[in-house]
Amino acid sequence: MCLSALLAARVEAASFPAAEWEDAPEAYAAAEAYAFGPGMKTDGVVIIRAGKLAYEKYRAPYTADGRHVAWSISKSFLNALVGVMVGEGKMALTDPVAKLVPALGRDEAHKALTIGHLMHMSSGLAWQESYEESPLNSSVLRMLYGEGQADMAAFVAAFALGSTPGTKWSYSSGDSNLLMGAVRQAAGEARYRTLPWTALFDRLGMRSAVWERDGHGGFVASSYVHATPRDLARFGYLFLRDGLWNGERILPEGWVAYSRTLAPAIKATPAEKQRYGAQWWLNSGEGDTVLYWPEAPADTYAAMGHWGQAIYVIPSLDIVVVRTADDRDESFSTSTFLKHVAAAVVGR
Amino acid sequence: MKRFALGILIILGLVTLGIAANARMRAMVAIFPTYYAKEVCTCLFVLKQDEAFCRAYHAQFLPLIALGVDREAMQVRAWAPIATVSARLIDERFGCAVQ
Repeated sequence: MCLSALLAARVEAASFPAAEWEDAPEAYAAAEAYAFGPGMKTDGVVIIRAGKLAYEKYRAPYTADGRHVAWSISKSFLNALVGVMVGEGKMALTDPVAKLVPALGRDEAHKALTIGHLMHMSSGLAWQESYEESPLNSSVLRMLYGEGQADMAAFVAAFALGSTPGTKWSYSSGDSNLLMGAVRQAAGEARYRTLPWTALFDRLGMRSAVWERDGHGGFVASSYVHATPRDLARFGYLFLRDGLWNGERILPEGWVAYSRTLAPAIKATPAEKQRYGAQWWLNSGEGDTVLYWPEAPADTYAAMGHWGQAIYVIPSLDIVVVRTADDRDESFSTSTFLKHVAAAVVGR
Repeated sequence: MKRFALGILIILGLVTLGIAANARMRAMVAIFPTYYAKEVCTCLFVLKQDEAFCRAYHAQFLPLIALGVDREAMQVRAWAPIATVSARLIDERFGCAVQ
Protein backbone atom coordinates (compact mmCIF):
# COMPACT_ATOMS: atom_id res chain seq x y z
CA MET A 1 0.00 0.00 0.00
CA CYS A 2 1.46 3.41 -0.91
CA LEU A 3 2.01 6.03 1.80
CA SER A 4 -0.90 8.27 0.76
CA ALA A 5 -3.34 5.31 0.77
CA LEU A 6 -1.99 4.30 4.17
CA LEU A 7 -2.50 7.82 5.52
CA ALA A 8 -6.03 7.97 4.06
CA ALA A 9 -6.90 4.64 5.70
CA ARG A 10 -5.53 5.96 8.98
CA VAL A 11 -7.79 9.04 8.79
CA GLU A 12 -10.81 6.81 8.21
CA ALA A 13 -10.06 4.66 11.26
CA ALA A 14 -8.81 7.49 13.49
CA SER A 15 -10.10 8.19 16.96
CA PHE A 16 -10.78 11.80 17.96
CA PRO A 17 -10.83 13.34 21.45
CA ALA A 18 -14.17 14.17 23.07
CA ALA A 19 -14.10 16.53 26.05
CA GLU A 20 -10.69 15.08 26.97
CA TRP A 21 -8.02 13.11 25.14
CA GLU A 22 -8.17 9.38 25.78
CA ASP A 23 -5.11 8.23 27.75
CA ALA A 24 -2.75 5.58 26.33
CA PRO A 25 0.48 6.20 28.25
CA GLU A 26 3.82 5.45 26.63
CA ALA A 27 7.38 6.05 27.81
CA TYR A 28 9.52 8.69 26.13
CA ALA A 29 12.46 8.49 28.54
CA ALA A 30 15.20 9.88 26.30
CA ALA A 31 13.01 12.71 24.97
CA GLU A 32 11.99 13.60 28.54
CA ALA A 33 15.58 13.50 29.78
CA TYR A 34 16.58 15.84 26.97
CA ALA A 35 13.65 18.29 27.11
CA PHE A 36 13.56 18.59 30.89
CA GLY A 37 17.29 18.07 31.45
CA PRO A 38 19.85 20.49 32.88
CA GLY A 39 19.87 23.90 31.22
CA MET A 40 16.61 23.32 29.33
CA LYS A 41 13.62 25.54 29.95
CA THR A 42 10.80 23.32 28.76
CA ASP A 43 7.46 24.26 30.38
CA GLY A 44 5.41 21.38 28.99
CA VAL A 45 5.39 18.50 26.52
CA VAL A 46 2.29 16.73 25.21
CA ILE A 47 2.52 13.80 22.79
CA ILE A 48 -0.52 12.50 20.92
CA ARG A 49 0.08 9.20 19.14
CA ALA A 50 -2.60 7.45 17.10
CA GLY A 51 -5.16 9.90 18.46
CA LYS A 52 -4.48 9.25 22.13
CA LEU A 53 -2.61 11.07 24.86
CA ALA A 54 0.63 9.09 25.01
CA TYR A 55 2.73 11.40 27.17
CA GLU A 56 2.59 14.69 29.03
CA LYS A 57 4.74 16.49 31.57
CA TYR A 58 4.86 20.03 32.89
CA ARG A 59 7.35 22.16 34.76
CA ALA A 60 5.98 24.30 37.62
CA PRO A 61 4.19 26.65 37.66
CA TYR A 62 2.62 25.26 34.45
CA THR A 63 0.00 22.49 34.62
CA ALA A 64 -2.23 20.52 32.25
CA ASP A 65 -5.04 23.02 32.87
CA GLY A 66 -2.96 26.16 32.38
CA ARG A 67 -2.76 28.17 29.21
CA HIS A 68 0.65 29.03 27.77
CA VAL A 69 1.62 31.78 25.35
CA ALA A 70 1.86 30.44 21.80
CA TRP A 71 3.31 33.52 20.06
CA SER A 72 3.82 32.77 16.35
CA ILE A 73 2.05 29.42 16.54
CA SER A 74 -0.90 31.80 16.04
CA LYS A 75 0.14 32.19 12.39
CA SER A 76 -0.78 28.56 11.73
CA PHE A 77 -4.23 29.22 13.22
CA LEU A 78 -4.51 32.06 10.71
CA ASN A 79 -3.66 29.52 7.99
CA ALA A 80 -6.69 27.47 9.07
CA LEU A 81 -9.02 30.49 9.06
CA VAL A 82 -7.88 31.32 5.52
CA GLY A 83 -8.51 27.67 4.64
CA VAL A 84 -12.08 27.90 5.90
CA MET A 85 -12.66 31.13 3.93
CA VAL A 86 -11.14 29.64 0.76
CA GLY A 87 -13.25 26.50 1.24
CA GLU A 88 -16.38 28.65 1.36
CA GLY A 89 -15.32 30.59 -1.74
CA LYS A 90 -15.03 33.84 0.24
CA MET A 91 -11.45 34.37 -0.90
CA ALA A 92 -8.92 32.73 -3.23
CA LEU A 93 -5.17 32.36 -2.96
CA THR A 94 -4.77 34.14 -6.28
CA ASP A 95 -6.91 37.11 -5.23
CA PRO A 96 -5.16 40.47 -5.00
CA VAL A 97 -5.11 41.54 -1.36
CA ALA A 98 -6.34 44.94 -2.59
CA LYS A 99 -9.71 43.30 -3.36
CA LEU A 100 -10.26 42.96 0.40
CA VAL A 101 -7.91 45.64 1.80
CA PRO A 102 -8.47 48.75 -0.33
CA ALA A 103 -5.31 50.52 0.94
CA LEU A 104 -3.27 48.07 -1.14
CA GLY A 105 -4.87 49.47 -4.31
CA ARG A 106 -2.84 52.67 -4.08
CA ASP A 107 -0.39 51.73 -6.84
CA GLU A 108 0.21 49.00 -9.43
CA ALA A 109 3.10 47.44 -7.47
CA HIS A 110 0.99 46.92 -4.33
CA LYS A 111 -1.95 45.70 -6.42
CA ALA A 112 0.22 42.75 -7.49
CA LEU A 113 0.30 41.42 -3.91
CA THR A 114 -1.91 38.32 -3.56
CA ILE A 115 -3.35 36.31 -0.67
CA GLY A 116 -0.96 33.49 -1.66
CA HIS A 117 2.07 35.79 -1.34
CA LEU A 118 1.05 36.60 2.24
CA MET A 119 0.50 32.92 3.04
CA HIS A 120 4.05 32.26 1.82
CA MET A 121 5.70 35.21 3.64
CA SER A 122 6.66 36.63 0.28
CA SER A 123 4.89 40.00 0.24
CA GLY A 124 7.99 42.03 -0.56
CA LEU A 125 6.95 44.66 2.00
CA ALA A 126 9.99 46.42 3.53
CA TRP A 127 9.52 44.85 6.97
CA GLN A 128 12.06 44.40 9.79
CA GLU A 129 11.32 41.20 11.70
CA SER A 130 13.41 41.53 14.84
CA TYR A 131 12.53 41.32 18.51
CA GLU A 132 14.24 42.24 21.76
CA GLU A 133 17.72 42.14 20.24
CA SER A 134 17.01 45.23 18.13
CA PRO A 135 13.88 46.91 19.51
CA LEU A 136 14.28 50.32 17.91
CA ASN A 137 14.49 48.90 14.37
CA SER A 138 11.78 46.33 14.86
CA SER A 139 8.66 46.61 12.71
CA VAL A 140 7.13 43.88 14.91
CA LEU A 141 7.47 45.82 18.16
CA ARG A 142 6.14 48.98 16.48
CA MET A 143 3.15 46.93 15.30
CA LEU A 144 2.41 45.11 18.56
CA TYR A 145 3.27 47.85 21.08
CA GLY A 146 3.76 51.08 19.15
CA GLU A 147 1.79 53.06 16.59
CA GLY A 148 0.63 49.86 14.86
CA GLN A 149 -1.26 48.61 17.87
CA ALA A 150 -4.38 50.66 17.04
CA ASP A 151 -4.96 48.78 13.76
CA MET A 152 -2.29 46.28 12.80
CA ALA A 153 -3.59 45.38 9.33
CA ALA A 154 -3.72 49.08 8.38
CA PHE A 155 -0.23 49.62 9.83
CA VAL A 156 1.23 46.85 7.65
CA ALA A 157 -0.74 47.88 4.56
CA ALA A 158 0.99 51.28 4.69
CA PHE A 159 4.48 49.76 4.24
CA ALA A 160 6.41 50.41 1.04
CA LEU A 161 7.57 47.50 -1.10
CA GLY A 162 11.22 46.51 -0.87
CA SER A 163 10.92 43.87 -3.60
CA THR A 164 8.33 42.65 -6.09
CA PRO A 165 5.65 40.53 -4.37
CA GLY A 166 6.33 36.81 -4.66
CA THR A 167 10.03 37.09 -5.49
CA LYS A 168 11.64 37.05 -2.05
CA TRP A 169 10.86 34.99 1.06
CA SER A 170 11.13 36.93 4.29
CA TYR A 171 9.42 35.81 7.50
CA SER A 172 7.11 38.64 8.52
CA SER A 173 4.60 39.01 11.32
CA GLY A 174 3.31 41.91 9.25
CA ASP A 175 2.32 39.59 6.40
CA SER A 176 0.25 37.54 8.85
CA ASN A 177 -1.61 40.50 10.33
CA LEU A 178 -2.29 42.00 6.91
CA LEU A 179 -3.68 38.62 5.87
CA MET A 180 -5.91 38.63 8.95
CA GLY A 181 -7.24 42.00 7.75
CA ALA A 182 -8.24 40.29 4.50
CA VAL A 183 -9.90 37.43 6.41
CA ARG A 184 -11.91 40.02 8.35
CA GLN A 185 -13.28 41.53 5.16
CA ALA A 186 -13.95 38.10 3.63
CA ALA A 187 -15.88 36.90 6.68
CA GLY A 188 -17.85 40.10 7.22
CA GLU A 189 -17.78 42.10 10.41
CA ALA A 190 -20.53 40.30 12.35
CA ARG A 191 -19.16 36.83 11.69
CA TYR A 192 -15.53 37.84 12.15
CA ARG A 193 -16.05 38.74 15.80
CA THR A 194 -16.41 35.06 16.74
CA LEU A 195 -14.88 33.44 13.65
CA PRO A 196 -11.98 31.66 15.42
CA TRP A 197 -14.49 29.94 17.74
CA THR A 198 -17.19 29.08 15.21
CA ALA A 199 -14.75 28.01 12.48
CA LEU A 200 -12.15 26.27 14.65
CA PHE A 201 -11.96 26.31 18.44
CA ASP A 202 -15.51 25.13 19.21
CA ARG A 203 -15.42 22.47 16.50
CA LEU A 204 -12.13 21.06 17.81
CA GLY A 205 -13.15 21.32 21.48
CA MET A 206 -10.41 23.87 22.24
CA ARG A 207 -12.18 25.25 25.32
CA SER A 208 -9.11 27.02 26.68
CA ALA A 209 -8.42 29.05 23.54
CA VAL A 210 -8.05 32.82 23.78
CA TRP A 211 -7.24 35.08 20.83
CA GLU A 212 -6.35 38.65 21.74
CA ARG A 213 -7.13 41.59 19.47
CA ASP A 214 -5.63 44.92 18.45
CA GLY A 215 -7.19 48.33 19.11
CA HIS A 216 -9.44 47.93 16.06
CA GLY A 217 -10.82 44.51 17.06
CA GLY A 218 -8.57 42.56 14.70
CA PHE A 219 -7.30 39.20 15.97
CA VAL A 220 -3.53 39.43 16.29
CA ALA A 221 -2.63 36.65 13.87
CA SER A 222 1.10 37.01 14.34
CA SER A 223 1.21 36.42 18.08
CA TYR A 224 -1.77 36.21 20.40
CA VAL A 225 -3.41 32.79 20.59
CA HIS A 226 -3.15 31.34 24.11
CA ALA A 227 -4.24 27.81 25.02
CA THR A 228 -3.32 24.73 27.02
CA PRO A 229 -0.79 22.39 25.38
CA ARG A 230 -3.50 19.70 25.16
CA ASP A 231 -5.68 22.10 23.17
CA LEU A 232 -2.77 23.13 20.94
CA ALA A 233 -2.38 19.40 20.24
CA ARG A 234 -5.99 19.31 19.01
CA PHE A 235 -5.08 21.87 16.37
CA GLY A 236 -2.02 19.84 15.31
CA TYR A 237 -4.23 16.77 15.19
CA LEU A 238 -6.62 18.50 12.75
CA PHE A 239 -3.68 18.88 10.36
CA LEU A 240 -2.43 15.32 11.01
CA ARG A 241 -5.90 14.14 9.97
CA ASP A 242 -5.76 16.18 6.76
CA GLY A 243 -8.28 18.81 7.87
CA LEU A 244 -10.95 16.32 8.95
CA TRP A 245 -12.37 16.19 12.48
CA ASN A 246 -14.49 13.24 13.47
CA GLY A 247 -15.92 12.85 9.97
CA GLU A 248 -16.42 16.56 9.42
CA ARG A 249 -14.28 18.35 6.84
CA ILE A 250 -13.06 21.58 8.45
CA LEU A 251 -10.29 22.48 6.01
CA PRO A 252 -10.81 22.09 2.26
CA GLU A 253 -9.46 18.99 0.56
CA GLY A 254 -5.82 19.55 -0.38
CA TRP A 255 -5.40 22.41 2.09
CA VAL A 256 -2.98 20.58 4.39
CA ALA A 257 -0.89 19.45 1.40
CA TYR A 258 -0.79 23.06 0.18
CA SER A 259 0.20 24.28 3.65
CA ARG A 260 3.13 21.81 3.68
CA THR A 261 4.39 22.75 0.22
CA LEU A 262 7.50 24.90 0.12
CA ALA A 263 6.94 28.61 -0.47
CA PRO A 264 8.23 29.08 -4.05
CA ALA A 265 10.26 32.20 -3.22
CA ILE A 266 12.48 30.28 -0.75
CA LYS A 267 14.13 28.47 -3.65
CA ALA A 268 14.94 31.87 -5.13
CA THR A 269 16.99 32.61 -2.00
CA PRO A 270 19.69 29.89 -2.12
CA ALA A 271 21.30 31.03 1.13
CA GLU A 272 18.03 30.45 2.98
CA LYS A 273 18.35 27.25 5.00
CA GLN A 274 14.96 27.46 6.71
CA ARG A 275 12.01 25.71 5.15
CA TYR A 276 8.56 27.27 5.13
CA GLY A 277 5.21 26.41 3.60
CA ALA A 278 2.07 28.50 4.13
CA GLN A 279 2.20 29.84 7.71
CA TRP A 280 3.76 26.50 8.74
CA TRP A 281 7.47 25.56 9.07
CA LEU A 282 8.73 22.47 7.21
CA ASN A 283 11.63 20.10 7.69
CA SER A 284 12.08 19.74 3.95
CA GLY A 285 10.70 20.85 0.62
CA GLU A 286 10.42 19.07 -2.70
CA GLY A 287 13.86 18.23 -4.07
CA ASP A 288 15.67 18.94 -0.79
CA THR A 289 18.53 16.60 0.02
CA VAL A 290 19.33 18.26 3.34
CA LEU A 291 16.81 18.49 6.17
CA TYR A 292 16.47 21.61 8.29
CA TRP A 293 16.11 19.41 11.41
CA PRO A 294 18.45 16.65 10.21
CA GLU A 295 17.68 14.08 12.91
CA ALA A 296 13.88 14.47 12.69
CA PRO A 297 11.69 12.59 10.19
CA ALA A 298 11.73 14.34 6.80
CA ASP A 299 7.95 14.84 6.78
CA THR A 300 7.92 16.82 10.06
CA TYR A 301 6.17 20.17 9.84
CA ALA A 302 5.54 22.62 12.63
CA ALA A 303 3.74 25.65 14.00
CA MET A 304 6.42 27.54 15.92
CA GLY A 305 6.52 30.54 18.24
CA HIS A 306 9.01 32.76 20.03
CA TRP A 307 11.04 31.24 22.90
CA GLY A 308 10.50 27.63 21.81
CA GLN A 309 6.73 27.16 21.51
CA ALA A 310 5.93 24.46 18.95
CA ILE A 311 3.36 22.05 17.56
CA TYR A 312 5.22 19.37 15.58
CA VAL A 313 3.17 17.19 13.23
CA ILE A 314 4.83 13.99 11.94
CA PRO A 315 2.47 11.99 9.67
CA SER A 316 4.90 9.07 9.16
CA LEU A 317 4.80 8.43 12.94
CA ASP A 318 1.08 9.29 13.34
CA ILE A 319 2.12 11.76 16.01
CA VAL A 320 1.62 15.32 17.25
CA VAL A 321 4.10 16.78 19.73
CA VAL A 322 3.48 20.04 21.56
CA ARG A 323 6.28 21.75 23.44
CA THR A 324 5.88 24.94 25.45
CA ALA A 325 8.99 26.61 26.74
CA ASP A 326 10.86 29.66 27.89
CA ASP A 327 13.94 29.26 25.68
CA ARG A 328 15.94 32.45 26.02
CA ASP A 329 19.05 31.00 24.41
CA GLU A 330 19.98 28.40 21.79
CA SER A 331 20.39 25.42 24.17
CA PHE A 332 17.38 23.49 22.90
CA SER A 333 17.60 21.64 19.58
CA THR A 334 14.38 20.69 17.80
CA SER A 335 16.33 18.14 15.77
CA THR A 336 17.72 16.33 18.83
CA PHE A 337 14.41 16.40 20.67
CA LEU A 338 12.47 14.94 17.75
CA LYS A 339 15.20 12.34 17.19
CA HIS A 340 14.49 11.02 20.71
CA VAL A 341 10.71 11.14 20.18
CA ALA A 342 10.98 9.29 16.85
CA ALA A 343 13.34 6.66 18.28
CA ALA A 344 10.84 5.87 21.03
CA VAL A 345 8.01 5.39 18.52
CA VAL A 346 10.01 3.37 16.00
CA GLY A 347 11.57 1.22 18.75
CA ARG A 348 8.17 0.17 20.08
CA MET B 1 30.85 72.08 37.59
CA LYS B 2 27.49 73.66 38.44
CA ARG B 3 27.27 75.06 34.91
CA PHE B 4 28.08 71.64 33.47
CA ALA B 5 25.34 69.95 35.52
CA LEU B 6 22.88 72.67 34.55
CA GLY B 7 23.82 72.18 30.89
CA ILE B 8 23.20 68.45 31.11
CA LEU B 9 19.84 69.07 32.78
CA ILE B 10 18.79 71.54 30.08
CA ILE B 11 19.82 69.11 27.30
CA LEU B 12 17.92 66.26 28.96
CA GLY B 13 14.89 68.49 29.36
CA LEU B 14 14.98 69.53 25.71
CA VAL B 15 15.33 65.92 24.56
CA THR B 16 12.36 64.94 26.75
CA LEU B 17 10.27 67.82 25.40
CA GLY B 18 11.29 66.91 21.84
CA ILE B 19 10.20 63.31 22.31
CA ALA B 20 6.95 64.36 23.97
CA ALA B 21 6.15 66.73 21.09
CA ASN B 22 6.77 64.17 18.37
CA ALA B 23 3.99 61.60 17.99
CA ARG B 24 6.22 59.00 16.32
CA MET B 25 8.92 59.35 18.97
CA ARG B 26 6.28 59.20 21.70
CA ALA B 27 4.91 55.98 20.23
CA MET B 28 8.42 54.55 20.11
CA VAL B 29 9.12 55.41 23.75
CA ALA B 30 5.75 53.95 24.71
CA ILE B 31 6.68 50.55 23.21
CA PHE B 32 8.33 49.43 26.42
CA PRO B 33 5.61 50.24 28.95
CA THR B 34 2.99 49.02 26.45
CA TYR B 35 4.77 45.68 26.16
CA TYR B 36 5.02 45.44 29.92
CA ALA B 37 1.38 46.37 30.67
CA LYS B 38 -0.05 44.11 27.94
CA GLU B 39 2.08 41.05 28.59
CA VAL B 40 1.81 41.19 32.38
CA CYS B 41 -1.99 41.56 32.00
CA THR B 42 -2.01 38.43 29.82
CA CYS B 43 0.27 36.56 32.21
CA LEU B 44 -1.95 37.39 35.21
CA PHE B 45 -5.46 37.18 33.82
CA VAL B 46 -5.21 34.87 30.78
CA LEU B 47 -2.43 32.48 31.80
CA LYS B 48 -3.51 32.94 35.44
CA GLN B 49 0.01 32.92 36.84
CA ASP B 50 0.84 34.72 40.07
CA GLU B 51 2.07 38.29 40.20
CA ALA B 52 5.64 37.57 41.30
CA PHE B 53 6.08 35.12 38.43
CA CYS B 54 4.63 37.52 35.85
CA ARG B 55 6.71 40.49 36.99
CA ALA B 56 9.90 38.44 36.98
CA TYR B 57 9.12 36.81 33.62
CA HIS B 58 8.88 40.15 31.79
CA ALA B 59 10.97 42.46 33.98
CA GLN B 60 14.14 40.77 32.82
CA PHE B 61 14.06 43.14 29.88
CA LEU B 62 12.45 46.15 31.45
CA PRO B 63 13.85 46.89 34.88
CA LEU B 64 13.15 50.64 34.83
CA ILE B 65 9.38 50.60 34.41
CA ALA B 66 7.06 50.76 37.42
CA LEU B 67 4.02 48.53 37.40
CA GLY B 68 0.67 48.66 39.19
CA VAL B 69 -1.82 45.79 39.28
CA ASP B 70 -5.51 46.33 39.98
CA ARG B 71 -6.93 42.82 40.43
CA GLU B 72 -10.50 44.02 40.86
CA ALA B 73 -10.51 45.92 37.57
CA MET B 74 -8.28 43.22 36.02
CA GLN B 75 -6.01 45.99 34.87
CA VAL B 76 -2.25 46.52 34.72
CA ARG B 77 -0.69 49.97 34.49
CA ALA B 78 2.94 50.62 33.51
CA TRP B 79 4.71 53.90 34.17
CA ALA B 80 7.78 54.99 32.26
CA PRO B 81 9.27 58.42 31.51
CA ILE B 82 6.82 60.28 29.17
CA ALA B 83 4.41 57.38 28.76
CA THR B 84 1.90 55.69 31.05
CA VAL B 85 0.05 52.73 29.57
CA SER B 86 -2.64 50.43 30.87
CA ALA B 87 -4.02 47.10 29.67
CA ARG B 88 -7.02 45.20 30.99
CA LEU B 89 -8.81 41.91 30.59
CA ILE B 90 -11.65 42.27 28.07
CA ASP B 91 -13.19 38.84 28.62
CA GLU B 92 -12.39 35.12 28.61
CA ARG B 93 -12.28 34.90 24.81
CA PHE B 94 -10.50 38.07 23.87
CA GLY B 95 -8.00 38.20 26.73
CA CYS B 96 -6.16 41.46 27.42
CA ALA B 97 -5.95 44.62 25.33
CA VAL B 98 -4.12 47.91 25.66
CA GLN B 99 -6.44 50.74 26.67
